[in-house]
Amino acid sequence: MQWFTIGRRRSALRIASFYTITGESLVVQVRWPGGGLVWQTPLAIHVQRRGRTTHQPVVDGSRLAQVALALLTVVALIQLERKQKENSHA
Amino acid sequence: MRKDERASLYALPVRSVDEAGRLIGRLFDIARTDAVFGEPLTRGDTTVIVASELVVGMGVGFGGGEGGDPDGENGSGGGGGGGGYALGRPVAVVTIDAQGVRVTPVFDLTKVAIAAITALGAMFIARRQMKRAANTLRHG
Repeated sequence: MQWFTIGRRRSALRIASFYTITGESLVVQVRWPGGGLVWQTPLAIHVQRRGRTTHQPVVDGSRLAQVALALLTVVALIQLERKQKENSHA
Repeated sequence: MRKDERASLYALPVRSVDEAGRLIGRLFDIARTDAVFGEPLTRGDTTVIVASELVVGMGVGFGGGEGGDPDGENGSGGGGGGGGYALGRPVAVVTIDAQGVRVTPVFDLTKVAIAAITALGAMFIARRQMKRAANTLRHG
């Protein structure tokens, strides 16, 4: 049994009206003696109609906003520190 | 306590570890199923599929031991504990109707607001600490 695996996985076909939809997700598995963690998040859907397949990404807006906020905080803290250093040298 | 009785006591945690291993193995089965994309729900001409993020974690630990004191008294004991975490959060809704297939993101305002408050708090605390450090340097 591997302790860490990461990969894309396709779900079973979902048929709705004229469309056949397949979901694609990212799966991260971490296993250690006496425990484990599974994280699975949707990445995209593949829509098939009359033999033509289109791909539509699934965007996690909340996660993107959280990451953007975290990056913004890091940048702001670096700027604050730089400004503080300039003031102390002046 | 007889020796065979003590041995049977130690056998208990071993059995529990095996059971815990099986339970953890089942945890990984979640990733093999279609838990992320839900079953299509149809009402009228519209069908909806909910796409969710899933996080499942689990950990267990067991221990045991025996010892004796100078008076010749012997004792043994064992114990274990465990915990788990599971989270399911809708990420997007796939809508299928006469107009086609649309993916609408689900925006969790509460989650983002909490992150924003935490970020602002971190910046405020950092700024105050920096000002305090600068004042200390200036006034010796």
